[in-house]
Amino acid sequence: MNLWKFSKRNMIHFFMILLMLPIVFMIIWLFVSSVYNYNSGRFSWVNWQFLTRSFELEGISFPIIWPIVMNTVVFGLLITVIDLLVAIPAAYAFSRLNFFGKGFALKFLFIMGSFPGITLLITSFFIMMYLGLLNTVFAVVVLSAAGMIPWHVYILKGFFDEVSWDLEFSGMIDGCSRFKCLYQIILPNMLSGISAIAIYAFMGAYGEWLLIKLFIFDNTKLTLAGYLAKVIFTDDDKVTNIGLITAIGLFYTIPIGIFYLFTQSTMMKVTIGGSKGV
Amino acid sequence: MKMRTKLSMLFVVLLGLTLVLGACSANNNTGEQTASTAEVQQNSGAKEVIKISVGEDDYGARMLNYAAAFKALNEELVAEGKNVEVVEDILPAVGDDELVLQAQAGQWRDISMNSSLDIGWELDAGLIQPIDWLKESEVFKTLPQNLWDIMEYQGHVYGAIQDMDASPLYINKTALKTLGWSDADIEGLPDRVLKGDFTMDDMLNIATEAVDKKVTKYGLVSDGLDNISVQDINNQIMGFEPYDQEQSKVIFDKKGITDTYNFWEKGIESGAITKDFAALEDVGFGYFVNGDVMFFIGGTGSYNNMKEAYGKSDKEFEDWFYANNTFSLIPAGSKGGKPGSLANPRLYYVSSKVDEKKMPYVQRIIELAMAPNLQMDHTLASGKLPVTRSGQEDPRFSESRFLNDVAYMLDYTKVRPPHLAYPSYLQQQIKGLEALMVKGATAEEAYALFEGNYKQGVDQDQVIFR
Amino acid sequence: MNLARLKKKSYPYLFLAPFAILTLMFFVIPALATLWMAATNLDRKMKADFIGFGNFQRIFADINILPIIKVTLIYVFFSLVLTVAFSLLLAICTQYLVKNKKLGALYRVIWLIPSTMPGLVYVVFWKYIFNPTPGGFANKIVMYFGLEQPISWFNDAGLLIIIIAGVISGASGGMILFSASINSIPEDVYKAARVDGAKDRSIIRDIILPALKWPIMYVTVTSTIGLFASYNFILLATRGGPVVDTTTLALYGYQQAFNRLEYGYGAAISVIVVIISLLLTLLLFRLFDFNKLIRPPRIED
Repeated sequence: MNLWKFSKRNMIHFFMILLMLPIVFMIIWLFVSSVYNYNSGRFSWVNWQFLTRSFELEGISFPIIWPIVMNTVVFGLLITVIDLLVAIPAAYAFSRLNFFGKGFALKFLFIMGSFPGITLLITSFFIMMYLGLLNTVFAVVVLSAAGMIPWHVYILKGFFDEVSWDLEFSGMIDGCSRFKCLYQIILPNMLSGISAIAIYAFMGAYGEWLLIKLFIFDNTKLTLAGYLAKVIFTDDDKVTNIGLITAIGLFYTIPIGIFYLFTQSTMMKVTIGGSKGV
Repeated sequence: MKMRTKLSMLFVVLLGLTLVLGACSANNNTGEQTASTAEVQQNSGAKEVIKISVGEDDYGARMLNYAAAFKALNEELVAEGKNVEVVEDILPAVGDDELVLQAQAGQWRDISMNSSLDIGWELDAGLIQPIDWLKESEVFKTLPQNLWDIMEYQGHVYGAIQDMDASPLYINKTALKTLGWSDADIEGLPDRVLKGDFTMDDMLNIATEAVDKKVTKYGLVSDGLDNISVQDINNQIMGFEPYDQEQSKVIFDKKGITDTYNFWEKGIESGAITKDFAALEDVGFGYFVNGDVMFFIGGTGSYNNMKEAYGKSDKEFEDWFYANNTFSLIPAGSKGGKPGSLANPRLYYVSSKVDEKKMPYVQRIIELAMAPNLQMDHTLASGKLPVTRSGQEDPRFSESRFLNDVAYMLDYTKVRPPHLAYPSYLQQQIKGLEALMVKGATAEEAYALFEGNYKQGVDQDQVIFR
Repeated sequence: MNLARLKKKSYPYLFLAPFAILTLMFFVIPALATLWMAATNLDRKMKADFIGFGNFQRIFADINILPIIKVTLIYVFFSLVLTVAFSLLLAICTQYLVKNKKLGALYRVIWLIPSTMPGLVYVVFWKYIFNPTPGGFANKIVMYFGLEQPISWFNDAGLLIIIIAGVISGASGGMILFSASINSIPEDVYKAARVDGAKDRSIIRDIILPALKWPIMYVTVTSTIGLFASYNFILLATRGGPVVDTTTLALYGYQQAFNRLEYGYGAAISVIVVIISLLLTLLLFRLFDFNKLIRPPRIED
């Protein structure tokens, strides 16, 4: 009887754990595959040697991973900064200013935010070629930012909507300009929103690989995701070295998992269209 | 007021456009500059540094040959007292799409590597240039004539072949014995194949018998559906190669194609070929080692794969292999026909952008990468065969019984036509096969799918439909 | 006077300028260029001749187009419904039903992992599970229970696997947004409802779901467009095969452009993809009454 009561109370946990089994299984499988050779039946850490040194495999040299990690961090921060610099003023305008064609622009924003960026890949390639920006980090940074910014603007607009107008009124009475109001009064009131967007931007940059694969020809400029896409995966559907792929895949996934653990409460600050009773 | 709004909108747009245009015009100069400085760097009076970018469409042992060639060339240059240094810029796994886009972006590979099949379209896309100097080249002096034919297209040499393959039919001797074959019959089989006395249908019948009597689990297995071995089977059934060399056109032959689909349909219905034929790509050779397969069609590299699957020393494997298996060419489609073998060799190509100044260095890199011992290194790593006679004279070649025994096949081995309408032919033919195997389409339906898909995507002037 | 007014009138545009320039250069211009490309026969030769609607005529005559559209609709519809439903389920479970906030957060983090995992690695896992040989995980199970021949899962149920894998990795985005919205419902609202004797079921129905109206709209619209444009996982998992059984329109466009190097034709197919998703988006806007979302500013200039 007691057991029944206990299990009823904890049914939701059973349910959640049951649902999570495939994912947990996947993580375990990834780890096992990275240290265990299914063919020879031996355990070894050989697939993890990228942590300590560069190594050669079947004639290809694989660099040590840390400079690539460094690239990834720099790349992520760069995108985050550009993203915020562009998105915040735009979101402010969308939320609090009146301008010609705003309704249309907002819809356009929505469409852009979820527009299949991939359809623009080839033409973007030619534009970058024309601008002489191919094989530069800059090209990937702006293209990647341009892909994310529309929906970041949209979410930030929601945060601006939440900030009380009275704050801004009082600021204007004190003689602030709109611009001064923005960064002295409003922004400090929506730091959580800004950090949420910053996190999203950083994660977006972390996962970016297609642009890097196509636009960067130089293997010293790769980020982790680009490294994985370009160096480890070479054929569309043939997996040549499961051990190495899973090892690097795990190495890629673990930090972002930990990152989530610490930032998920901030990420949860995001609301769409103000959920407080529309 | 509204006017002003519009004006300021216009202002923003114009600002944007100026930026775009400004950046464009600025770039045109810098683009050329970077290109020329990257090519030949005048290193402050000291050594002239020449950067040669090399690439490969795949990932593999060939990268080592590049590296060795660069090292050797620099040593030679020092010995010659030349004040020049070549620097390598290696990029593996450059796919066809990247090859085209990167060439557009001025990031072409001076030497790239691709299948012999790709001459036609790469030439059409303006990516490669003729390298007729190859005919005078010392390392290629001992290259057999049939391999020269592979490298030539429309009267010029376009690629330097760097490995060669054949497609043996691996035969399970033990299973044949169980089926009641005598030792003499078995030993005579490769010869019968050679004379055209043993046909594809005979092979299929034996495969069916083996499966029916539960001697082996699989009748006929290959190293993949989209692999060369399937193409080989199709060509043998048709009895000709679907290519007219004189007119330089692909032949789309209704009768021949229907015959091939009929063969596969029959194989599937009889159980000699299983529906998961395509899925056996990476495991088929392992099943062959386990004795589960009657016939296996693959490349010479399959021998290496089997060795790995067997998991013991080279010698032990060789003994086991010859005790329990044999191999032959691919049988003829009909009695008295010719046996066949097909290969998919990789060629070195030289970019159309390489100029006269750079070409001598590019040439020497290719020649050095073709050094006999490097050819043999590649053979040991990949199981593919050295191309030149001098490459086959490497002592390590004669040490391998299999390599020696299989070498005769090279004389029968063809490659796929390097015509630009041909890759799509292969792709769509396989789609038809897929429909037949997986979705249970009939031979006629498979043909209709092939024909429809091929016709709608190809420049019909390039094809003879008959 | 005029200068002051101009200044006042123009500052919204100053705020928007960086965004506008970025969008113009890397969205509007590429989009227009794609349109232009769709009207040319640009291919590997990189020479573009204008052929008007030639590519579009070719699309309608393409023998694969009908099966592909069918596959696309099935794929988008089921992925969409399952993704939204599943992310709702996850959000309500982890944010409302699981009372321990920390545990709820942990569950969510674990669910986020598949979406962070690069598709390249994610697909390796699925290929292992549904490997067509007896060594595959699923085949080991069915063969343990007596099946003699291994099953070629991706051949027999490729689309289903693709949809399931997509839902598992795609649910987390919606889950976060929904959880956030549930999180912002004040505790008092629940308390008041419980005082009135409301059960979990009616709280979910009467309080939580109405509060999620806009997030659900957002996720539905973005997922619809996203799904129409997605081909990545399919490309890695099945390459669209067998034949065209798992080929979506977006994948077909990609293959024409990047595998067959027919950029013009590929662009034309992309344009069709975009038109379909635009029409659907507009329909969804109407369905959700999007205009309400745009509130007028309260400070008048």
